[in-house]
Amino acid sequence: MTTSSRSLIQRFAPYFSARIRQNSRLLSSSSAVQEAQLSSPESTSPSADAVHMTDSCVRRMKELQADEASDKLLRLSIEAGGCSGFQYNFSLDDKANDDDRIFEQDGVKLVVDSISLDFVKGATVDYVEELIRSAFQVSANPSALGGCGCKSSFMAK
Amino acid sequence: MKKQVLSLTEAAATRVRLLLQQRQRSFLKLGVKARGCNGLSYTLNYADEKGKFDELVEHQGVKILIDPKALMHVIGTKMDFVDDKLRSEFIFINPNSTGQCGCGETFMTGSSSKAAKPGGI
Repeated sequence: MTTSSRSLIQRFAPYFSARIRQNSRLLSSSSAVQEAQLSSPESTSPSADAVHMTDSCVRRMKELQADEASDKLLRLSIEAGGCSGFQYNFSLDDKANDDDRIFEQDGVKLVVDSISLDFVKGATVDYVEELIRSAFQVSANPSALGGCGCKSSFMAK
Repeated sequence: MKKQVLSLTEAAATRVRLLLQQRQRSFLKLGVKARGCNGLSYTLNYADEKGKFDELVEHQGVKILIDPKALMHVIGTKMDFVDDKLRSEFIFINPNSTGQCGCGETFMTGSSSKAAKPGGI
């Protein structure tokens, strides 16, 4: 080898070895996740599947709770229908059921039943206030393929 | 008796009156835009002046302007206002509507195919 190509390799070696290290880290972490999933089928990777609430949503829930004797939970569920296959349904509930996942944020609880959860993993619930309407809305849903422009109906992936 | 282009329920009129008073604006303006899953959806904005071709509707003591592009789509519509804990919204009961999205927000009328852009949303 000539001296110029050797020095090129010397210059790039640290970069290549860092990338190799990074790739092996990625490979080992993904296999670790697979192992975890195989060993404990009940648990789901926490933050990726969580349903989030915006500040506006939390604020609105606190306003609603102020009017109620007991603390209400915001329930997000899925029903078949709408123009794109499924639609979101919001309701207020007094308690969670055994198969519900509860997402708590700033003292406000959002509950999703286990069947609906598959369709809304990672979604964000917002409370939108416009002249024409003020309502709870799913503002982003990575689990949905596409959706109705009005954001109440969506297609599942 | 002249047929109402747009009529309002008492609930809708009360809400409009409140909004206009709170914001100190003169009119609410009703329009339509091409979007959503089924053709058209309603738009509502504040307005202070009547545009030259706007249709002025006065009902239940409130004044609503209708955008000229929207007029043929909303003629005969009844505007209502529903308010519960989870949502408060104006709803439009439109006799021209031939179909509706599950959420009720978008609708089709016979002439909406001209108004709707290809590709929808």
